[in-house]
Amino acid sequence: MRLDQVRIVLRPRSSWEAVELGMALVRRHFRAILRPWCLVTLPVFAVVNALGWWLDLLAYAPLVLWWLKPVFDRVPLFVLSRAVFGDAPDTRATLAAQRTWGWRAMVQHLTWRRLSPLRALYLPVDLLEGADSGSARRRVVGGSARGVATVVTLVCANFEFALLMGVLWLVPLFAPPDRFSDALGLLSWLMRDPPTWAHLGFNALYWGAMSVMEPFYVGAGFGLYLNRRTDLEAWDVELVFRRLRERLGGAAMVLLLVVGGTLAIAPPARADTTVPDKAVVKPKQEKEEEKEGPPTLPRLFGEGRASEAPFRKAVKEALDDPDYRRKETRKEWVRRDKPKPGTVEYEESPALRAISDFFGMLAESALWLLVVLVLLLLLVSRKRWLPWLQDMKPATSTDSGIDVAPLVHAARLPDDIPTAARALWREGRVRAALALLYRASVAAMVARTGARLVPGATEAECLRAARALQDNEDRDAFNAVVRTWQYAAYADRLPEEATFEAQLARMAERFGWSR
Amino acid sequence: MLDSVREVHTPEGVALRLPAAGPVPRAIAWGIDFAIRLGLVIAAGSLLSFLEMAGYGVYLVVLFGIAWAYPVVCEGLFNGQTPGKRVMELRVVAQDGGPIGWVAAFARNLLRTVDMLPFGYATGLVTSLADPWGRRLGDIVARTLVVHVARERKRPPLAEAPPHGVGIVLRPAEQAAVIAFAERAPTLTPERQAELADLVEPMTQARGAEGVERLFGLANWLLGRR
Repeated sequence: MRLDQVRIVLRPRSSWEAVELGMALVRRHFRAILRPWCLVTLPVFAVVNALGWWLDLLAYAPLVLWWLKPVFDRVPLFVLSRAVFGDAPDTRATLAAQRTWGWRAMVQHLTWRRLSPLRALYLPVDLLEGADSGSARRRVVGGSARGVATVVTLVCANFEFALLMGVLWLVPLFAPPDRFSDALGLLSWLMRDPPTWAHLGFNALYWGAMSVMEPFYVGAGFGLYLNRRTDLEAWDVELVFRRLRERLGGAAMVLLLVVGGTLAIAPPARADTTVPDKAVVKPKQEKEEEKEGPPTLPRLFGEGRASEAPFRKAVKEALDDPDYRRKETRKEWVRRDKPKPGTVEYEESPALRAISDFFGMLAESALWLLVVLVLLLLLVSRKRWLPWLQDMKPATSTDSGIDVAPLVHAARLPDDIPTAARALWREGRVRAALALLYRASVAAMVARTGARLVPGATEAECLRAARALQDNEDRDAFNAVVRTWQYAAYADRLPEEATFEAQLARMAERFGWSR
Repeated sequence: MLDSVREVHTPEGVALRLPAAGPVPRAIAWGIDFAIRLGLVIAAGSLLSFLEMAGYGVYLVVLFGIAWAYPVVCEGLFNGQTPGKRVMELRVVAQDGGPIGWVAAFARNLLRTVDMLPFGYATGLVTSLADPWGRRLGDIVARTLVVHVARERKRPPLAEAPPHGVGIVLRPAEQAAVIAFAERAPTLTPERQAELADLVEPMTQARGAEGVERLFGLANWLLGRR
């Protein structure tokens, strides 16, 4: 068993989800199961029915088929147990395996354990883990899954019955309603005293229902079994640990001997299953190595040869990737089928004509009225929309509260800064006064430090430039002015007049502004 | 890699995983619902039989409601769960993982008329077996999906060990595996624990029982117990 080749997502699941996983497995490999299934069951079906016909015991043929189910179950189980590891066997390999594989466990499964509701769960234990698995091992693996396995058995039996009855019920269902009772009578007569063809038909129907349901039932049990093994032996953890080991550069192949019975799912040695290629007639070449012989790969690698199925599958998946096969779905509106010409002509009566004309006139005049109304509305509301058409600015109210006084040009500071600032303050233009103070301070700072300020320098950049001031007092005074200005400009928090005066006086003293 | 989960990718790039439910648990849920409906019908019949003919009319209306409205109303009101589905921990959701909505509930339950043909939901069973997400015809038409509701499971206690880290950065999946190992260790045999711990010897630098102990410590460390 190579756990690193497993082709299903291993994670701890609830038992019900394990059932879903098993069924999904069957769904994916249904074709690989169905062909060998038919090849195994149909001969048995034929033999059993022929014997029944001969012995006049045809009614018991379905019972015999039902009893032989464990034998048939080996087909889907064989396919699934290998498909899990990405190596789904072909029909030939499956049929070859049926001859030898798993007969030892069949004795008990066909006799005293035939009626066990846990067959699907225990078959993998018996067939895949070798014959040395006793009842103790079965109990361990069964564990918490036994309840669900019992319910699955019950439900699948009902499904089989539903399929069988469904096909039978088609007979009265397709009968005409007036002959329905006849059809029912026919059905009941067939049930009571069936002729040979009805027997054979019913047996065939039973075989069909069994063939649909049984693989899924086995798959559900196999899913439960895998889930239990995953729980018991932490397969999902092992998988991640192996990848971690590979990532850390350890040897990837560490063979584990699982305690408590290995899952003997190693693919069969391929040397005897591969058919040697037929001798291909080639043009003679000088090389003498080209002799027909058995394929060399199995001879070189023998048992350890990795299967090619995962690689082929990966290639197929890569080719199916949408990056390679772009498909675009475009949706667009198309006209519906045009009404066919050739509508039915009919005689009109003048009275109806008059009535329809009257209503037509009413509707038409109503529509005209609507047009007039809309035009009137447009006319009345022209004041609202005409400016938009003429590309005029919508009238703004003059009292918007936005100060639109022209800016004092920033490049030109007044000669007497303190006087100008105080004048602005007294006018009530506090912001302008603070702005003037700030601009003057910056100009003074630049004059003293020789810093280069870019146009549009922020307050922070001014502060950074002010670090070049030699005198700490100068720097503090400048910083205070900048802070005051920032509070005013961005937070609308205006200083008291005393503060303003103090700062103005301090700056005037420090930077020698005329008083 | 095969899984019974339908992955839906949202525009934000989140992969929603919807664990689709197949025919077996759904059939059981239907059976439970059927028993409940049968009980309701019997109760209504015995109560209304006191009203003679008038009661018979009401009884027919009740019968119709239980036959047709019961699943629609339950799925619409209780977020896609009839009582039977609640017992089986199933839920009907829209195909993209959203809540089901009334229109979809109506459509999928009206289509039961087709799914139940010819006998015992044989049609629904066959489509459910064939469809990768186990949908019956009603689900396909209404664009819904029956999913297993993830159970809130209590995290088992970790195996105690002095926490310590390792010198490598572990990927999320690897961290989860280490923590899962420490959680599930009580259910594994000691030999198997040692076997698994030996696999990551390059990381823990220890074998056997000591390696197991170090993994426990690492799990504790990963969960922030310092």
